[in-house]
Amino acid sequence: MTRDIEEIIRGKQYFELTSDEMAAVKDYATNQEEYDEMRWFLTNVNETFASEKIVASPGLRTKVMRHLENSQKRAVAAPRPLREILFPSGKHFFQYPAVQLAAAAVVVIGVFLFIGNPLSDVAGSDADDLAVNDVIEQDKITGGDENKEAVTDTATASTVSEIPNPTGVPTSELPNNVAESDEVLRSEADGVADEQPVEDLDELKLSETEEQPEPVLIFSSDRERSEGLKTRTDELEKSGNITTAGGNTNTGYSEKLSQESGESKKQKDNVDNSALGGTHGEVVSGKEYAKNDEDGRGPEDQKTRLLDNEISQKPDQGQAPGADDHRNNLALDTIESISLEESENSKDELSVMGSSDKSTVEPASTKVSDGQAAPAQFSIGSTTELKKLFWTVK
Amino acid sequence: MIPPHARNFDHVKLLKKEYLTYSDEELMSLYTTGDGKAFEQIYDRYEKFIVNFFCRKLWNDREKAEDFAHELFAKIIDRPQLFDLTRNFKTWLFSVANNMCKNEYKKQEIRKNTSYDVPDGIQVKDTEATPDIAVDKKGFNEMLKRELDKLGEKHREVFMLRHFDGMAINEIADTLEINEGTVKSRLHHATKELADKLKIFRKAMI
Repeated sequence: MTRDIEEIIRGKQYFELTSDEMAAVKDYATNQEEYDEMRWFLTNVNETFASEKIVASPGLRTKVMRHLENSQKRAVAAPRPLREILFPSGKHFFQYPAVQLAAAAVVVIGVFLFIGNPLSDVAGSDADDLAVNDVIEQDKITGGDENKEAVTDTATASTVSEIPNPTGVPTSELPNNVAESDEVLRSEADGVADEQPVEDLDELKLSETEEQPEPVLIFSSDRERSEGLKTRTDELEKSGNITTAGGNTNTGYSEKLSQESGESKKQKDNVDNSALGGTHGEVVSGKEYAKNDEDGRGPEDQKTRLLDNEISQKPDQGQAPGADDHRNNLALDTIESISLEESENSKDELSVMGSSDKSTVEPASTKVSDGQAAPAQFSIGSTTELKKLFWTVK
Repeated sequence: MIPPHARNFDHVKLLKKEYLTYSDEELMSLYTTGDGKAFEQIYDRYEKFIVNFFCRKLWNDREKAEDFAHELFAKIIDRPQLFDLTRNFKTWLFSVANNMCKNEYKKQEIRKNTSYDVPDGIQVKDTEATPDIAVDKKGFNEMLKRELDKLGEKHREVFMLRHFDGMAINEIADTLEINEGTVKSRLHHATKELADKLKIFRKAMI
């Protein structure tokens, strides 16, 4: 506004002023005389200042332009600092290369973290396949002899199942006489190992490579059974401990298996059932496993308990004529029932063992004649009673 | 934050650049991207103003004024990012020059002749006046210098920026970092006082 007032004063005469312009110049001139003096003063000041301005020498421009050229050469030659590259001036925040690179890094990391690495999944699947194949190969390599025996066992088991019951007592009615025992004699370790799931066999195979298990002995006839019982009885007499009668080589293996079956009972029911249900070959296989089993008693345990009570109570009732014969008959019946059931179970399990394509083996529950699944348990009261039993048989 | 005048500038790059039509701020934005000709245009616009400003402020020392002008333009060349694109370039340039003069004052510690003197070697424009009028004109100039010296520094600075450097009220306010009302008040006071002192030459010169 002030500039406008000065321009108005310099450009117009007093009588040319409008009412608005007159009001604007009122601060500088209130009448025509003052207005003319002000107009003269401003005009002469501008003329004086305009005439007294200097002109810069040409050397100044030359120096400044030379400085400009040198600066541009340095800018081209020298690389820009990293900060200017990542955070260039005159751009928005999301246009900074640093921000864009950070966003890309976050996306890549997020993909690997939350979606997962597809390469690792592929590798994992390959590893699983290789592991399965490895187990099969190991099975073929280490268990070659056992497979042969298994085939033989299958044949013998079928043969045994065809043997008629010499006692004439139904197997379902046979009592189990050793249910109160603290030690549970389990069936053969090889059968248990074969019934283990494939993934559980890795650990067992390792122990097998160190210690070869004793071959399974299954009898196909009464003669062989009596001979086997005789042999085993001799061994028990020599060792004095029935739990170690299977041989020292299998002791550690049996303990390990007992611990494993006790710890992972819930997770590996099929393995436990097969191990506990392995009534076949407790005595004849030579691989006994001691275990406290208070919970897994079934009908057969009750049978053995009844038999045991019957055996133990008979002498207490006095030395009636024919009491020893009665005891011997009961013992023989017990052993017969054990052997018969064992042969049936062996047949079932051997048929499972023959199918190598199955990754897991179904639990081998002890089957009685009426088709009910009996608990996988066979126990003998104590070593003393077992010795009495064998002595009686002998 | 990019000022509006700098945002719509890229499309002009593809065309023939008419630097004369660009504003000072657009030229500075161009120079920050490496356009040397933009700086040349800025230099051509302000060389005369800056040299005269330094000459007036630095005791009418022409050589020192050119040295200071070279130093100021070298600063702009080396560090163009010092200029805030949101500001007015002219006021920013003169404020930088004014600060340089203040630093020089402190360095010299002695305030030399800050009166308005016509530098040596500068020919006063020949008005083809008669000798009497020329004498009166010379007397007016000398009287004007004396009265300017008599004015206070603040009033003299505003008056010189307004009439010698041709700045507007708002530009003076930005350069001196004072409000416009103060500028108007100081300018009115200086103008009225000088006009009252120099009116004696009016009758002789007319």
